[in-house]
Amino acid sequence: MQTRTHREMTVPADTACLAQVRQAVIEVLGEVFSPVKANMIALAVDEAVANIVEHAYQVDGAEVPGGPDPRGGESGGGPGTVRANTIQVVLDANAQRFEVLIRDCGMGFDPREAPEVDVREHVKSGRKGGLGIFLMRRIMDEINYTFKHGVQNQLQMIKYIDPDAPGHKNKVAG
Amino acid sequence: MAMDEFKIEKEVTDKGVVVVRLTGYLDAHTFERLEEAISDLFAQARYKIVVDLAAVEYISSAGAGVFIGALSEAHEHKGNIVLMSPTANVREVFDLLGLTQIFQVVDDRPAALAVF
Repeated sequence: MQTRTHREMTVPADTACLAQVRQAVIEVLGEVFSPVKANMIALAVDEAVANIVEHAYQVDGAEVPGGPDPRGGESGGGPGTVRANTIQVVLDANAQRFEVLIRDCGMGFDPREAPEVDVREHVKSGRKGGLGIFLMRRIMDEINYTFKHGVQNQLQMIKYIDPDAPGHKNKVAG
Repeated sequence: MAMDEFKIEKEVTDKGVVVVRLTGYLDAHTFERLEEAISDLFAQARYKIVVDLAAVEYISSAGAGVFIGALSEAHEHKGNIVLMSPTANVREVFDLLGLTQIFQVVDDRPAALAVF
């Protein structure tokens, strides 16, 4: 990848948007990764967005009001412009790294605080939850999170493309 | 394929094994349909299940969770859930989650039916 590829989208906080988000990730990644590896990176983004859909705007089944301006937040807006019940996804790739920013204005949840999962025991015991964060951690090189409750949460995930780049952990085969 | 298109087809073999053929994306948007389909099979006392994944282009943890959640109930009733013909994308996710250590994952239908 010689040039920078950048894309921004705002989608409803609905699982129906997941395929659209995954497709955007695949397109931004281009051919820099094998199809299987690109799919894994799209999976990490999918899991993060699905977590927001499931948790950020739903508390005990009720919608969480929020957002700095319910009329604002067109696609491409900067920090502070995410509308309630929407998710902003910013994708950026260059020769060194792929970065995704995922913003919402619902309940904050820092995936870095989720306990480490012994996936073997987890799966053996029949528990289904918690695997999304496990996958995000295994696939991506960096996960960072900032939030202001009810205003804006931002999850940043980075996958290094250049194997010599700082932070590269070469977790995804392919 | 439309983004939300997800198909579930069931076939009962002579030996009472149910082959569930899936097509499309198995993610947080579609997994509940598969969960319901497997619950329906369990309600009919059908616990010997082969899931044909040859036409599944994508799976997330929500999709994998359906198999994880159902396996113990199948085992309790002397059944099993066999995962057949996963695509490269799906197998990679199974490997990362360690599902290939827990489930019988086979390449083709004869091998799947031979499990029962």
